[in-house]
Amino acid sequence: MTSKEKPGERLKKIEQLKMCHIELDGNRELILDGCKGIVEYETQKIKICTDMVFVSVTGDDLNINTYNQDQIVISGKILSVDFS
Amino acid sequence: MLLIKLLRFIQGYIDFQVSEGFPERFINLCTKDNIPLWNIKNNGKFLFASTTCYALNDVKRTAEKSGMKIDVLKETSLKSSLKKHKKRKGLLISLFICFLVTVFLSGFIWSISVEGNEEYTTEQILEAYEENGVKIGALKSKIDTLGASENAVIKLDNISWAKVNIRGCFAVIEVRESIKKPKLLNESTPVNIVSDADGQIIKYEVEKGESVLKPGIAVTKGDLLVSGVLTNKDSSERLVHSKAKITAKTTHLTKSAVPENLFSKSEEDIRYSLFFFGLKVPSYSLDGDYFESRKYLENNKKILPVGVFRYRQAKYNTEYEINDSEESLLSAFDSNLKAIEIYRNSERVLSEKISFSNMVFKCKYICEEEIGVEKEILTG
Repeated sequence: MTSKEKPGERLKKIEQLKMCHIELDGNRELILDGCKGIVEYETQKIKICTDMVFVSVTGDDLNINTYNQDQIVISGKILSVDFS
Repeated sequence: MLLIKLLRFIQGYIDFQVSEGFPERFINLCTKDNIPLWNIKNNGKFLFASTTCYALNDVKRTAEKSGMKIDVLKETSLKSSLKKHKKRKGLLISLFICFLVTVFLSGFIWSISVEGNEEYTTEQILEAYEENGVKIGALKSKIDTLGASENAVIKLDNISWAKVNIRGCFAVIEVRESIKKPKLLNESTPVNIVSDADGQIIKYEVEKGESVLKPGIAVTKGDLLVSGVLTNKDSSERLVHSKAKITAKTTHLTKSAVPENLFSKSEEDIRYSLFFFGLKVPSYSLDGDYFESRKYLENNKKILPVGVFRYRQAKYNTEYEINDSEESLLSAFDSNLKAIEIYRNSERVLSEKISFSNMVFKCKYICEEEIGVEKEILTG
């Protein structure tokens, strides 16, 4: 966030550009905003569909803590996050 | 997070597993239909998740649409927990009694602290407030905080403002002491500064005048410390009002003896009573002077309003008559006690040595104090 941007402006931009917003808490938790659906769900891989890209989260013991309309929270041992 | 778990427990939730079919389609359909799902885990064969009790039928319908087979594993809710413990009436009754006791006890003052006092001791302020009903074990609803503070300010002379704040079960008394009017100086009169006591000079801070001695030198009472007579460059003299702060190490000794016969105790009465939230069991009413000591239960600096009070009343040989010399010794004894208080409160005491043996009271104080006093220079 640049110093000239007001808080909330960045999120509005992301929404306008139809981009997903990802927050990583170390390699233990991933919060993704802008989720449109789950394409693939396995213990070691979760593939999520967003507006622009597919996000693949790879790791061990992956669980979906919560999944709302727009936000998904994945916990477990995350090894990589790929975009396709 | 805890609040969410508590809300889910109160509303009730179900742990279930689904197998076969399409787990991704199942999750997407649940989200699209606003069916709450959490703790979703996939072990390859089964998909485990939790949902609210109300959403179970919707989940079953969605599972059917996704070609999945659903099995309910566990139901957790406040209703089911209460049903499980329906026969344990004692548990409910004791929970209710516990709640009542907590509500009852929280209506009392558990401890009182004092802030902002410098000249007055905490005990003096607590005593002033105790007379107005603010004490440990008092009922909060019966305390008139405004009236108690007003009466305390009237009773304690040098307190300009006082307030008692009750925060939960703890009362905090805040006081502000008055600032004494400073002594107005007459700077037109020429003065010297002389020593007020015997001692060894530690610090010399001269603002006006000429210092005669240096730090480290021993002085006796009356010695000149700062001269108000200044010599000009043309060898003429002028007189000034000297101003200086001279700190010295002084020693104070006091001694007094008490006639042995006077303090022969004929009998001593010691009583105890248990204190519990304002209630004293048993309650005594003692005539005459007595000493009261209070010991409360403490836990990590928090004092509980539960403890033991000890009352000690000593009866002395009253047939004995005091003669004049003994009277003077007694007054010396009293003044010794007052001297201790004065030394402890006013001076910076470096060391204190008190001994009492064979009815002789001896005190030795080494203090760091200001010894300079003004002495007018007499002209003409």
